[in-house]
Amino acid sequence: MDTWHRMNIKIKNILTQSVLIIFLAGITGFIFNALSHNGIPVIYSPPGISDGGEIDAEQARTLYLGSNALFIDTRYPEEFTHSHIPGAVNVPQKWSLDQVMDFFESIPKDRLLVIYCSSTECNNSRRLAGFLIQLEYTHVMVFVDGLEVWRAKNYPVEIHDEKAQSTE
Amino acid sequence: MPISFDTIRKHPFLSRSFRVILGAVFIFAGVEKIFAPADFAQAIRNYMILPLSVTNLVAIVLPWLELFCGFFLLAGLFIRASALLITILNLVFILALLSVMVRGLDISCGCFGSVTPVDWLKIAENVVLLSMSLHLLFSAP
Repeated sequence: MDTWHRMNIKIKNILTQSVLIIFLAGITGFIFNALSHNGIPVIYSPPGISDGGEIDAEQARTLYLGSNALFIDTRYPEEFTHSHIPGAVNVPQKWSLDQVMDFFESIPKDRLLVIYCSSTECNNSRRLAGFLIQLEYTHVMVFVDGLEVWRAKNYPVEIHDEKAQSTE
Repeated sequence: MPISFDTIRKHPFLSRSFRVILGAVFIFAGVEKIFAPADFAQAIRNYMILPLSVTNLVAIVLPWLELFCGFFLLAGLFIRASALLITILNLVFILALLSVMVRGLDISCGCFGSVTPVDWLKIAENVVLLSMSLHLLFSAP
């Protein structure tokens, strides 16, 4: 009984000391970080998505016409083949992290990226954006309204017409 | 007196060696990260395990935890508590490394600040450190 009691106290001591060491590390860390030239913000918020990362159709069109932004379509390949924003590439949601990373290996981190899906009901674009931001892409924008609104405004689309076999 | 497994296991030389090795390793690991927090925070994000918002917090606190535990081990203070924390850290690191390998992420470890790959060697190193900290936690006199 007595041995167990003593061991219990020892365990409590160890746990208490551990907690105190964690607090010590925490407090020292915060103070050092606040005073350091290399300090970083305590709560990390990714660039792009939180500050104006979402764009509307007009902004997307401006980028389409006046920049070398890469448009990324996150819908199924069949949907993409049927129609997409001209010049866009297909990075479907079903791709693995590996495939996405392979695809983006050759794309520089400061390239303008506009990610879209079918409509606001689809969240693929935001998810891919979050992933790309973690990969340190600095200009990631999400065109939330998607292809639905783009087409509604009669902005240009590339359509694959199965019946049109080129005979020219 | 015949030498038994117990004699070796409880020999103070073993504990002292482990304390010095672990102490030095963790002080070094901590200091490296303390002076490059942004790099360490990004290394944490590369693992894609923690939610983004807490990655900086971890980058701020963890290196100091390593530093203090390493220091206490070297100094012979709060040995079991430091060993407990280091055991937990090692387990967490091993799980994180395994997670990266299983998902096939090609990232840098971020262990000592510089670029080192995530591979079985890295995991083996952590297993060795883990066995040392377990010894200090349970067998040390």
